[in-house]
Amino acid sequence: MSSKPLVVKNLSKSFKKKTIIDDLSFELDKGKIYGFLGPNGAGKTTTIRMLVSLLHADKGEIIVNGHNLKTERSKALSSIGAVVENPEMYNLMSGTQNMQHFSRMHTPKISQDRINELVNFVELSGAIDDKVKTYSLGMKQRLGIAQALLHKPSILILDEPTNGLDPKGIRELRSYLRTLADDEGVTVLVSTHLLSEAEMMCDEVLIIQDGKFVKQFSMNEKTESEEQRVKALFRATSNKELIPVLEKYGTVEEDKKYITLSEIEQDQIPTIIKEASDQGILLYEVILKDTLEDQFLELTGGEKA
Amino acid sequence: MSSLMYNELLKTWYRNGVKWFLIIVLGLYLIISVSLRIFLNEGALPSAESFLITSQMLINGTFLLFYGVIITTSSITSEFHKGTIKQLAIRPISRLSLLGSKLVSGFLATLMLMVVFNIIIYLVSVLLFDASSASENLLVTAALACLYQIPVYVFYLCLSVIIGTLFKSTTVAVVLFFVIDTAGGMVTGLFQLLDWNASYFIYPNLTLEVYSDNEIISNQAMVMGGGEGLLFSLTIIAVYSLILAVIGFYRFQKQDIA
Repeated sequence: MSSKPLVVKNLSKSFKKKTIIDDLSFELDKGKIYGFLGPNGAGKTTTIRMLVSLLHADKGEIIVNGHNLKTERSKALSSIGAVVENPEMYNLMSGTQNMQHFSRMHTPKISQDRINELVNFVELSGAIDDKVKTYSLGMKQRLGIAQALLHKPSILILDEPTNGLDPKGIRELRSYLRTLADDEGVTVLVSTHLLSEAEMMCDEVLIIQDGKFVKQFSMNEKTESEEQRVKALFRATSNKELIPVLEKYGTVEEDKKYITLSEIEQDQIPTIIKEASDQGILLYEVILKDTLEDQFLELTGGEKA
Repeated sequence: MSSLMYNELLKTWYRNGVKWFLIIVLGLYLIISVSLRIFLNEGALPSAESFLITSQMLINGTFLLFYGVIITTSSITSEFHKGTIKQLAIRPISRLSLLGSKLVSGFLATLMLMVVFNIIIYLVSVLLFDASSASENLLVTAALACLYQIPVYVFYLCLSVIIGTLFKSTTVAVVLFFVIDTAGGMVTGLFQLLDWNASYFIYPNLTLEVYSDNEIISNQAMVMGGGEGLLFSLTIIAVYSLILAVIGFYRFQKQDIA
């Protein structure tokens, strides 16, 4: 039995003979937050729907805490909490009634204390007895997360949870997820199209394109590397005079505003600045391009998430 | 399963405006009954047994049946339309139990409404109209008439399940309800004109009151082409209901929820 909370093996799914997910495989570790990224139409939502058994996979296996989702559906789903797309709730019922409704769908019985604990966790105590139709999208999103955590799942799957949230709501969500991962060891898989959010929120990133696995990497590894290779953009008093200086370090490209060094080691930047300064060239701007967005665009051939 | 059914009954209460259905239908019924009692001449007043059975035919056989179809179908279709079906289908509960709880809850809700309505119908009939000349005990008559209606509810609610899962439309369910309810007699008549045996067709088997020994009940029931016997009609209803339910459950079990 694998110790990984979630193992996806050779997953495939087609609709009307069009392949949407193609032999997709990946694994998630306990207590980490994973960003699930891909360009529009990459198959993120389809994958998530298969992970929670809304869609039946044509081929492949989904193993949740050692239980095959196809053959041991109930056991596998007992470990998963999810909000797929929008946090759809029963608008005519109150927040409490919604929580109680979903709590009745689990065994063993979920206590009122657990419901209260989650309501406090997502800071909805003041509005929990109001009808859900009066909630803002952010409140619905928080209620959605609370109901997904009722049965203490070891895996939380959220599909575009930042959609419609204001910056404060996004920051709060980030804080909830970090607490869950760090304090309770919950593995979180978050699909998002906000790459900057993924960068701040996630421990690892998993990129797919055209239904295929592209790359999985750790955000920490990327930022902690001292010999990290980056793309650097320079703007100087005289770009023409700066070109011979930069050519010593790598391939140079020039446009109207910047001169770009396509790949250098980050710790070479101070040397370049000093050398330019020694030659009387003053630098106005140095931009290091090593964001997740750059990596993502490079990996997916330029398509936005 | 009981907690799932509790959930479904709770949602039915909020979603289908049960409170308003009760208030409006009972209000109209009381207004009409009292008006008849006040404005009709003593000689033109219906007897309690006639008023009871006519009320039951109208409310049990039309309003309540129609509302039961809406409750059961919308318990499926509204989940799809509002997207909440995703929240249900990702729980560690089989889809069979999910749909089963909706069917059983729809049936229970209809039965509970039937009990409430028929208590009122009985009380209004015996209190406002002359019950002294009744040929049968009216309380027993009222209860028996309800029992004959229950298998019909089972058929229509199974039909609601298949329509809900196949078409995901309450409108289609309502249209089909009227098509079967109104065109059924015409189709049965056509069968008879062509000298075909209409006994295996569902429609003539849905009027079980014809088999009653209670004359108040059987005299009011009109049916074309049926009459093979109570057990035969119950079997036909059971077979049709089972086939509809199996198709509905199979479809729900296999379908992708997008």
